[in-house]
Amino acid sequence: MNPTDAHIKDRLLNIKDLPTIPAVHGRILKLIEDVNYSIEEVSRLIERDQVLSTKVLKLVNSPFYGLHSEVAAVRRAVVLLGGNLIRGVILSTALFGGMGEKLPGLWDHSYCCSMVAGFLARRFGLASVEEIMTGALLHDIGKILIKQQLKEAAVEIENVARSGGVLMIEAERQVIHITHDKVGLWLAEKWNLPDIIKNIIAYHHTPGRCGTHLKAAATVHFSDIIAKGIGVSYSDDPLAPALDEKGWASLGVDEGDIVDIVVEIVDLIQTDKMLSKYLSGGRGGEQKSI
Amino acid sequence: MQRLDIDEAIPSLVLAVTIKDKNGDIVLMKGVELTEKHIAVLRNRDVKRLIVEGAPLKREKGAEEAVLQEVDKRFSAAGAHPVIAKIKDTIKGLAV
Repeated sequence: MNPTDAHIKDRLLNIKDLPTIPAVHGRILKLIEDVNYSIEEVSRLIERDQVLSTKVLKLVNSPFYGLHSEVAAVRRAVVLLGGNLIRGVILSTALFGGMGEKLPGLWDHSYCCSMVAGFLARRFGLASVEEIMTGALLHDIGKILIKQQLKEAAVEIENVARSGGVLMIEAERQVIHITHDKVGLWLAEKWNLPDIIKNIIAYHHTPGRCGTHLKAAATVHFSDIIAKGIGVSYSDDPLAPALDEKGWASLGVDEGDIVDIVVEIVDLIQTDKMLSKYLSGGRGGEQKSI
Repeated sequence: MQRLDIDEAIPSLVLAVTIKDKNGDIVLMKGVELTEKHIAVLRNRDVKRLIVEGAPLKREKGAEEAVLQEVDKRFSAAGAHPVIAKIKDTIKGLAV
């Protein structure tokens, strides 16, 4: 790492500025580190926190889970989501906590990518669906950190992206010579996240360069393209990235299936309470269009 | 490609996407040319919408153009890979 990188890394990960994780959330994170964690105990702690309970229930009631009846009990949600996804919700809640309003659309985009990635991972027959969804939920955490820790540079990055019609990752490269995928990886390392989640965050723009978790990173990369294509995006970064060919090839998807895949995803988004606002009913004028 | 309400379906239109019912069971395969009988079956199976080849129905021009331009803009930095083109065209087809 060159000296400039090290300096930026220090500034970004300056511990006293990092979002604090509330004590109850910290206890939950500690509990789920053990794969044999007590579902009862984790559920009880989540129930004590209104924000977290709401998020967990919203997630499990997304149409992407395809449940026939609404889940109202946190305990059942914990069983269905699993420890990694709970961890993803807690960490993203901490990060988005004070920053959500400053990054309009980023939470929706992350949530959408998580659901789309879960749908695709199941469709592609991949293992680790839950980890892939968690990685998708956290894939842009580097953007939040840049916005929070490098405020002036973040404004410049947004200006470059907007005026130049380039992807935010390109603008980051121009302005701070470091990109959010790398920044996200630093944070993921600091948080000690599992390798698959670290790799998804680090390679969601370049899955072809990811060794061990190529397909997982490629799935999230593809989800990112679709979510942005549909218009579920962070308002300062609305452009779909180019396709990483090696990542795409690794998934072995028949190009003839793309239409079906996109149609199914749009249908699911249309029935999602949080995301349907991004779509129209298919008729011009009445609502916001797709 | 265009998405239609079941009330807009007419014979001779060709399905662009396989239709499934609420349980995920296939009702009609893509490529099928619709007949009156098919449309009756779709109504019977409570299918509300379908996606057909081409753009048989003329929508309100201005609104349609704006939506298509918006989708183009979103993909303006995504290159010309055939997969990207297919995703874009599908989204456009669903939008108008």
